[in-house]
Amino acid sequence: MDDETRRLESLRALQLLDTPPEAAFDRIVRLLAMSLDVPIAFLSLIDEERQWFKARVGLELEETARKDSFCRYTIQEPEALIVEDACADARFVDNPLVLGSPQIRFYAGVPFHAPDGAPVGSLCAVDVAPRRLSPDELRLMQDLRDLAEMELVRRQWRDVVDGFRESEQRWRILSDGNRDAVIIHQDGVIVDVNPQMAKWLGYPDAEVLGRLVAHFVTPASRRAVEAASHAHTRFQYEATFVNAHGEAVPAELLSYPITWRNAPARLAVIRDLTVQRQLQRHLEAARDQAVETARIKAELLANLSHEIRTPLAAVAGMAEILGETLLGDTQRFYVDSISRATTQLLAILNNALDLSKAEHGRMELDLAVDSAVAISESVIDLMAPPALQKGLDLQLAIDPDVPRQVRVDAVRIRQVLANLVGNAIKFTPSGHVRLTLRMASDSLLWTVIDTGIGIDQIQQERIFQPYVQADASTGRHYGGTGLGLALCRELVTLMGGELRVESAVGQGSCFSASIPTEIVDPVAWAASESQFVGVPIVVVGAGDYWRSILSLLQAWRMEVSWWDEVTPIGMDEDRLWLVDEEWVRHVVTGAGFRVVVAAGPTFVPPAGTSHLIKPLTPAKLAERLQQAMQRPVVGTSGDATASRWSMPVLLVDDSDDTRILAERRLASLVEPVWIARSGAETLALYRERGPSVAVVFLDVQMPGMDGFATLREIRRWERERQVWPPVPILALTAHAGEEAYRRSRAAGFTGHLVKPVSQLEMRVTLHWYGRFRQRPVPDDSIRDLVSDYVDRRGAECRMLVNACQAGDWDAVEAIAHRVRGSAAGYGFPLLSELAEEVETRVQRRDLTEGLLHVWQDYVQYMALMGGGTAHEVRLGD
Amino acid sequence: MKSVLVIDDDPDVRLLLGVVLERLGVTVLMASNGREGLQVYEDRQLDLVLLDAVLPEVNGFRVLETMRQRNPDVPIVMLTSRGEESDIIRGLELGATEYLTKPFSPAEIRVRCARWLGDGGSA
Repeated sequence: MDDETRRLESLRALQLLDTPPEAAFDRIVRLLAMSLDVPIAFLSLIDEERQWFKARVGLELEETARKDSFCRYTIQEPEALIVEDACADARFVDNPLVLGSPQIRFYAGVPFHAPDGAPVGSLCAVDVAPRRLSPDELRLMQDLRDLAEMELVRRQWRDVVDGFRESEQRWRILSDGNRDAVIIHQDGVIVDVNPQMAKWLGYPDAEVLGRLVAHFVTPASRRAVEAASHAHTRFQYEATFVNAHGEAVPAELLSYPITWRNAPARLAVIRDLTVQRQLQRHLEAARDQAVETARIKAELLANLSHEIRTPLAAVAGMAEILGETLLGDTQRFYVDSISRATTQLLAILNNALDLSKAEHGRMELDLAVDSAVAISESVIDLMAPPALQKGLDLQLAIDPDVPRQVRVDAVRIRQVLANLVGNAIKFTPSGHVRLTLRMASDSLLWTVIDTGIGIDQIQQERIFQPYVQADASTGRHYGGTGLGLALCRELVTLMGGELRVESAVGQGSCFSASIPTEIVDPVAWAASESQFVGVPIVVVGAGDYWRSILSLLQAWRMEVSWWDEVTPIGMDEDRLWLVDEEWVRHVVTGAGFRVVVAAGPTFVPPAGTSHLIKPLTPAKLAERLQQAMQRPVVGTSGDATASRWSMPVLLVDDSDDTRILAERRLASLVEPVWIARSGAETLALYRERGPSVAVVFLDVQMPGMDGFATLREIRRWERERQVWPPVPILALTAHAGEEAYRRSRAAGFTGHLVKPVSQLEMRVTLHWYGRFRQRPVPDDSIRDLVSDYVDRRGAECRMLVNACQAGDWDAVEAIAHRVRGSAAGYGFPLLSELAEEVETRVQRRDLTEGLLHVWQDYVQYMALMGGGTAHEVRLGD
Repeated sequence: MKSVLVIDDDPDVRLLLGVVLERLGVTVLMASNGREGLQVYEDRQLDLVLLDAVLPEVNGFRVLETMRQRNPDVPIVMLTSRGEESDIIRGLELGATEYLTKPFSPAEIRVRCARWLGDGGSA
């Protein structure tokens, strides 16, 4: 930028050009004209084109062309331009201002500068006759020029001050109009506040200004306030103020560094949090209330479920009994519908109950040694009918390396898997549902894969929440409460595992449950089928699923060939043939060939072939192959179609529905069945026929005299009348689980049955407990030994239970073996028989909790009998 | 007085047989394992041995075999919970006088023992 351009810029910045006359400049020009006694004086400004007169005396013109001006020379002079006679100066002789009006002969000008030093114009004195300018006169001109220049500086300051006033006003407006209190403080000393501040705390300004901010906060907040006072950045913190009434006021402060009257200061915007805090407290209270309500609801739900379950069990049981009678097709259809509906209802009820239990941390795991393979098989067996009904292929693929024995909660795992498989069946219109099991490090990994409708990414996150189904319309279409997956996740989490889903819409879903477990017997489960070693077999089938069957057969060390070509296959007699139903038409069957066809239950297998009903489980497969190998199947217990035992039992239940169901079951197994509907009735009946009663089934929850009271009365009467042996009394309750069992026993019950009692359970119960009281008279010579023998069984029984829990089967077998040998000798043949059953079952790894309970119950009952030394009453008469 | 040796690892069974046999007026000697049983057999003149099959240290069949090699005349009765046909055949082939299975009836055992001890057994 050249000097001229810069000069012009400075000129414009002055904002003097073309403005009205101003007294400050007029005064100077007037003073100049008077002092020098000249007719003309002026203050001119030189822009690009012209000279413009800001102030003038003795001059009509407001401006002239720049080229005609004297001043254009003046601004180039450092000191002054003095022309004593223009007519004698070559630069001005032909100047129109010399030749014409105002006919200048004398000119004296000093340059006039902007505050930045740029010569923007000049202060001039002009005469129409030639003259001289004395040094004093020049100094006067310069002084006057300086005065004019000072006026410019003064104006600039005025602008600054005005700007400052304006900004202060602005902050005032801002802060006064603010709902928040605002303070400005320097080093923690309050220097200014807005009116809101006074209103807020209730102190007049006078009391606030000059005080420390820290003075107005609680001692606890002082440190924060002080820290904020010395910060150099924007700072946000909370502090509790104390108002004029001494009340604590919570506040949030937003503090900025500012400059206040040329010194660093901080401006703090203070927001009152009282309302917010109140809101927060309300919210917290509301949340607590909600949690409490949820707890009460859960409790109510649990109670309600118990209440509903009893009549529902009666409906289910009645439907079952009804189904066993001779019915027409229409009636059978109705009965089946009732059965299905009640089963569904029970499942929903149980899900809801379990979910509420799990969610409130009230569910306990019941870990025991079990077979993961058997658990998977039982789920497949359970889910086979619904899969068949929808025409789905239900498949089970178990890795051959899965260990034989693990410690798990079989009931809970079965519940999870049944839910997942059931869901898969529900949401799969066609194709297959496959359950797989393998080990992944120390966890059992179950997956349920389907070819169903799938779940989109967004819904995948929601489906594990209770009461949510992937889509509300899905719920309407497919039914269900949306509790199942939530329960599954709760259960899996409870077991320390993880439940996940992968899915793509239209392609199907894969749910995987990994459950950490302790391996009790690490031997691969598939290794136990030793009877197949080296047996040649041809598998005719295709796809992943058949590949898994193939690897199972290989794990059984069979000599396996695989056939999946679509060409007719000639059979041979040397090998076993396992054929998928899809491929049957490709095989040529005939007498003498050993062919097993895997097919759905409605499939009619070709003559001479053996039908393996899908879904395949390893157990069914092994059984069928064994049959095909023409070896006898071992381990099937004879299905008893026994005639009724002659054994009087007493059934006590106040509810007609559940009693009629139990009575019906009992009556099909024993006679006579005597009934009582209350504690009092029971006592009356027992007093009359007591000694001949083999078992009492006693409902625990009865109005008036409940089961526990009735039990105590029976025992008291037995002692008074010296009725011996005491009658076994079984508790009938709605509560399942080990804890409920222990409670019943602690109360003095001989055993514990959970309603509704299935036909099989009833049979097993009568088989054992029905004979507790049949006490042959022991050999006279050993009478003295019996009570010690009975005493020792108590400790032994605890050892047995511990060994079972620890999965120490050798110890269990040793105890059972020993007891079998001695018990009958001491007059307890039933215990010998029980021990034999336990011994056999433990060898087959098939020991049930129920049988273990019978043992515990009988040992307790032996103690109750007092070791045989009490008075004897013969039974039956 | 005649002597009977009972070899059984279950104290309940030893106790029971002890009482049952004392009624016959015989001295009852007890051993809880095979090795101990063989030792008593060496040291004492015996009239009857009741022998369990499943025993710690030396199992019952092995005990039977050893006893038979030493003295073939003493009646040795197997009294065991192992009741499979193959076990019974094995016991009888090794020279057991009789093979009885547990659980047993004390009265029956007493009557049988009296017979094996001969008429002079009862006091």
